[in-house]
Amino acid sequence: MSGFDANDIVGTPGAWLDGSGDENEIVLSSRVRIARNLHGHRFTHNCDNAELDAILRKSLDAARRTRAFARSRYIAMGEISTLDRQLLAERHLVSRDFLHNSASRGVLFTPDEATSLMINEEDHLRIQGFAAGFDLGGAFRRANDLDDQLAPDVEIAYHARLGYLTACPTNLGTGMRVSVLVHLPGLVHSKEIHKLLESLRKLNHSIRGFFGEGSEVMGNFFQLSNSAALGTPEDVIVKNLREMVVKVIQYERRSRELLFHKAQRLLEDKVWRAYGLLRYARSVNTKEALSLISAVRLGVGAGLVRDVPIQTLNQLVVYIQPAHLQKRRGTTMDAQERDAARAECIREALSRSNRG
Amino acid sequence: MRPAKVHFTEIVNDNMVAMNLCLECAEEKGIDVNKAGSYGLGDLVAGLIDDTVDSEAERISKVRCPSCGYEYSDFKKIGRLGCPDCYDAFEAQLVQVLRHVHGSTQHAGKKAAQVGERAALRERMNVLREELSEAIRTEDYERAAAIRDEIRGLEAQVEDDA
Repeated sequence: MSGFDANDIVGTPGAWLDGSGDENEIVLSSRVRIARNLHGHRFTHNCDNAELDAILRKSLDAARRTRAFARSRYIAMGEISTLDRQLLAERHLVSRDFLHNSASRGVLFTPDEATSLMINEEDHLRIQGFAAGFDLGGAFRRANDLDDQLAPDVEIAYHARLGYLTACPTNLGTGMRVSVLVHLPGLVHSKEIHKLLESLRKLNHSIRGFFGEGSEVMGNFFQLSNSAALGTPEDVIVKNLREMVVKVIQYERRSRELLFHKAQRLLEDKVWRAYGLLRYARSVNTKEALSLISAVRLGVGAGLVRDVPIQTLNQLVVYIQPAHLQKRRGTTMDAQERDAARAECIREALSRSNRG
Repeated sequence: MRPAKVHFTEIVNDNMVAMNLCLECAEEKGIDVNKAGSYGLGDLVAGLIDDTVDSEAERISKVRCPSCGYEYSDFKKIGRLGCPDCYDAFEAQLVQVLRHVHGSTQHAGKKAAQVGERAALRERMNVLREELSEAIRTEDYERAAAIRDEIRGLEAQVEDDA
């Protein structure tokens, strides 16, 4: 047994998702992912169980020698419940792929959850560094440090011309994806988001839903990231995204100002209706909750809603998700029960902040 | 589960929804899967790979990786390679994909431990040396000269690193 107890972590949002940090009105968190594979092995999807085990053994040996994981336990996906796996996915510590594939797969993360390592994901090693708010440098430093600590103890698949070799050619080269989770209601409501999408594409960046590739956009939360990993050094990839996010923040601010200038009553009504629903609703699904939280966030940013800290709303984004609701309640719930528990969780958080 | 082949983004009620669908589901949603290119940022890879449909396609799809036995057609099907050595085995086919995805075919940035890097260069030189003797055997001197130049370039690189 890995001895993992999800109850140890469910009560806190994790240091990087605590909703603090620079520009936290617009940027919730920053993340850097580095993909690595072991030399002399097939890629994960092409392995039989024996080879997956061999990769896991070598990777764990290396991980246990790192400073980063001196106080961390390895969590084997096959040894924890589906609900616990889902909880880790909601905290972005494991990918959704791990919900379905669990054999010889697992994760290590630091006590603050800001550095993590998935073993036998699409690539043998998926290193992640996180930071709260707009702090790509901090996220990069964490991920890159772990990569450096692992390097001496494991032989990595590397090609002199192509760089780090990855299962999917989109990650080839640096193996790095740098991203921010941003909230862009201004650009969505002013219909400017299409233009942003277009220019991001031209600048070789991409935009995705809350849970990354293939996930739906909810509550106007987006993930912005680099799409090219080959041919540009890591520090330049980070710099390019940082400069782009600075512009996106400017555009978002300007859109919000214009919106409030042109349609103040309409927006104020939208914000306060959302606030009212969140304060008093008895049942709400994830999608609606995120959409209402989005409107209240907009109101907090504009100085309309003064008694709810932005941090509380950022934390709610994590807490209202299905596995978090169930683990905090200590019981499994069907969709209807979860909707009720979600409404209660939100009411409590808002009335707490209301009391100050 | 069927592989996702169609990637697109749509705007619904001011919300952007990104989707990855298999061909069957895409058709169910009324998407003309033959009109590739009109779908968002999507994974260019799938579209690009599907575009190489010509007389060469049959031959190319049968190219096999000597290390893991993966065929190029396997990559076309699932968008992932079989093992690290596949990159050398399918080098010619992948160049176009890399150019479109990354705008580059040459890594820049962090390097794996020097040991690994030099080993990779030596490995490439060994392959080239075999190709060189093959070219000489078949009296293809133009090709032999080109290979010799490439080997000299790599030798210089190995010495620089040492």
